[in-house]
Amino acid sequence: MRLERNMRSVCKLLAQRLAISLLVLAGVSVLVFAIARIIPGDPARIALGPNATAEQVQKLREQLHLDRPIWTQYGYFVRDLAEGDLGISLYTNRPVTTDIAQFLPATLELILVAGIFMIGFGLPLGIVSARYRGRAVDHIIRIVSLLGVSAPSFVWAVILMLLFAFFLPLFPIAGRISTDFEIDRATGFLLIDTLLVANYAAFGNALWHIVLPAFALALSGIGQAARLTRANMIETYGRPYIEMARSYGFPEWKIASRYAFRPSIIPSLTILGLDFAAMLGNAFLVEAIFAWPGLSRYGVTVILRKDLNAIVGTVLIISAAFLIANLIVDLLIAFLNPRIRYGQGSK
Amino acid sequence: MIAPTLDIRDLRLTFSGLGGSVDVLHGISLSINREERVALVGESGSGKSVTARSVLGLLQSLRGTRISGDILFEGTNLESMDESRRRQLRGTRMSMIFQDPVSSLNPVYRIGVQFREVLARSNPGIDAAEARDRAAEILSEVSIGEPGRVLESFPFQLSGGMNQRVMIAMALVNEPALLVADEPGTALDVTVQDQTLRLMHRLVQEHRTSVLFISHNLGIVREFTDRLYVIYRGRIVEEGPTGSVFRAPGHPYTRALLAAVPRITRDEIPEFEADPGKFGAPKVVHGPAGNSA
Amino acid sequence: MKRAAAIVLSNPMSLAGVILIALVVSSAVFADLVAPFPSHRGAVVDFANFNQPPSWPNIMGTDLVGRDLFSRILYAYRISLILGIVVLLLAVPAGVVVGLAAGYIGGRTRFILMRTTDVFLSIPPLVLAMSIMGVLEPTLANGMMAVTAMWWPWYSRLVFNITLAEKEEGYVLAAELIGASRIHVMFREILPNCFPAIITKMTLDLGFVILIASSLSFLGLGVQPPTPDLGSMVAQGASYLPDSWWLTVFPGLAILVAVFGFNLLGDALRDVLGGDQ
Repeated sequence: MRLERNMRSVCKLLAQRLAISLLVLAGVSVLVFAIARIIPGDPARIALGPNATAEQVQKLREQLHLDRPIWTQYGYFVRDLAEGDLGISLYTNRPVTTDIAQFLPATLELILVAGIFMIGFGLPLGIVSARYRGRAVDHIIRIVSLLGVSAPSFVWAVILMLLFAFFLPLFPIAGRISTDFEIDRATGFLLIDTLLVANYAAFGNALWHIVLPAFALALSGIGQAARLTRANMIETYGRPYIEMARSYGFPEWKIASRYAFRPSIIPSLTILGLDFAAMLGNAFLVEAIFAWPGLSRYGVTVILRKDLNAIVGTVLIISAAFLIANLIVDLLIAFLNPRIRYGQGSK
Repeated sequence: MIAPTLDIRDLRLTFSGLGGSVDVLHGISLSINREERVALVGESGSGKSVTARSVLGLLQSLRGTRISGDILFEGTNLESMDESRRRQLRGTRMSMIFQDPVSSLNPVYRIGVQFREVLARSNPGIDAAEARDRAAEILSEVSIGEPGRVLESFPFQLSGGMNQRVMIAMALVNEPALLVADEPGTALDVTVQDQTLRLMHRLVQEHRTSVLFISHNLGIVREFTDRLYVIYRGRIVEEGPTGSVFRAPGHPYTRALLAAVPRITRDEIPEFEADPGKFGAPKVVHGPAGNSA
Repeated sequence: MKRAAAIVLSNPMSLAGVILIALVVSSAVFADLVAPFPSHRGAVVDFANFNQPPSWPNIMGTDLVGRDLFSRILYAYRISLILGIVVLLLAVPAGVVVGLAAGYIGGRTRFILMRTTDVFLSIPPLVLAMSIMGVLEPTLANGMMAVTAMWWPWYSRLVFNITLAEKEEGYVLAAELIGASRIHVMFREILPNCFPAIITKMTLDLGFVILIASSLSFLGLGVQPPTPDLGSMVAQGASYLPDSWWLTVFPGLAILVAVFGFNLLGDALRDVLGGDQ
């Protein structure tokens, strides 16, 4: 019975959030479409280059519906989108969906590993910092995490590469996997594909390649997570239930890692979710330094080439991923916060 | 002779911070015999809660706190004990009940989980079923009709009075020798407070627990304690059996306190004896030693 | 205010922040006097001297066409600071007006304004600025526009949340009772209570605007050569790692120093003035 009630309010929450997300995604599509259409100059002319004839340009304009009023264009766009068709990239001459499917997994893989680093390093640092507030270790963690958020990820990428790939050659400088490995593409996620064929050497190699770029990408998230966790933990430490836990003689490490941490993590999660999602943008910066074959080069190239369909498609897909990430965070919060799970409002 | 459960001798406490230091306790002496219920009465800022927390050892590790004097628990001096041994006593031999039951229970764990962890303080190997049975048993002692449902609940799903009973049960489940009750139930409404205090009173008698009862409410003190100490600006100004202090208060501050209790049975508001202005707001910052009183 | 300043200056971390900011700002303002090679801000070449490691007089080395990196970094600070200040001067008022109106007026106004805010917040920050830069010509002015477009919604959220809380306060109700206009209540009663949070956020954000703008130019979507820019310097030097490390390390550290300074100060302000997470 408890489980059932539990499930019902979580489902209701999920439906609510899903509806809002779809509404926002529709808004994003309008926004992105609007951005793409304020482009100065004729996209067809830009795509074909200065040597194309006027007829060729006219033909492409008709093909892309550029001769129609803008709302009709948006109508076509939505219709195609509903069919999963984002149009043809004028740069690669392939469907945008095919291009994205090729490049996105590498980027997602990088982001997921960076997310694991962010949680795995950021939260414990924040806990230790709050637990030893005012001591030397707290000051060190505060400075390090502030440094982490104070540089863009490409700067960290350069610094980490110089230190740990050149100065101390511990990690490779570029790519996802050494060329001696031939891995069939099943999911596009190398860490999964290598495991699917049980090629552990290749898995280890791919892991070895992802460490530095993922860490560079994660550094600002680690700093942010540590700062946020520390701030919320310190607030929680002032609550009566912490004093009560002390009055029962629970050891300090247990009070920190259990009684203070769990209530503190709930308000942090929304912001951590946003930080995680911001990596979707920052991945572009890290990929460029580590020659990571992800969405970065494609995205930057299509932007510089003013490849409308590809720009709109890429931004839409990234925004959808962003919304999905936020949705997962909302569910996680509902799971961790009994008040929401039992539909008693959030506080 | 059996040593008293709690014997505080000349406890002094100073908080120091950026703005200088503040003497909060100026030498408190207080003792509680076995099975005795003793009140420490005073207004907010008088130092009573600080005294309660020092007994548990909750202030000793705070930065900027300086404590001197002895706190003897069943004959052993807690102040000379090392921190980890002292911690072993908390939750097992002595426990505490707090003012606000709702915010004193952890909001993200079920009552049953919190109970089990408290039980594990005295019996680390306790298994889930055993803990559940023991918790249900003590919950029914505080007149909770459906202990199973309560154990499955989160604190925010229960009323304030329910949470208070849970907290009382939790504090007594390990059969401590001393219970420190810091203004129990002040956050609740009066009828609920009265009900839960009666339950607590019955329970501590049954379990033969000594109680240090911190309160500013003389009506409650009169009903539930055997002996009382009056604390004013960090000093004990009067002590004695509850009944006789009520009949014949010796110190002007005690008289002022007693006079401040509204008595519905009288037809007029009582006059203050002595000079009530002198006992105006007891401040946290007390004057230098020798402050007349 | 004086007390706040005293608290900020008495804390070693925020004092360090003030010093770093003072260094960055003064090197931007006095670049013409400080820079050893003021002409190197532009498109000059000195092929005899290209790609030299740090030495005297090029204390941070020279770039691929022989320009003094230290001089170029000083001028890059100037552009970054101007960009940051302009972006905030545009984004903050826009966000504040939207947030106040959505919070105070409510109803359909709130729905439209806050859902629009959500739409802007649902595109990862850098990606939104990138796509705007993609369709516009990469100039300094357009860069400012793109960063402004991604920045105002954060202020709209912040002010919206404060407004929601403040509008229930007694002083607002009192103003309404004596018949104050909506504009008066929003801008004269509620807005002043948003200032501490806004000031804290602006201090922190000045650093983050610099960070995002450098990211855009790193991708080739911001300020164009020969204008000196920290992000594009790192991008140009990246292919010469590790041998010509100074090409990337010094501009990169320059970004770090500036943003770190603003973060140190912003943190201290947050402790003193309160403000958002």
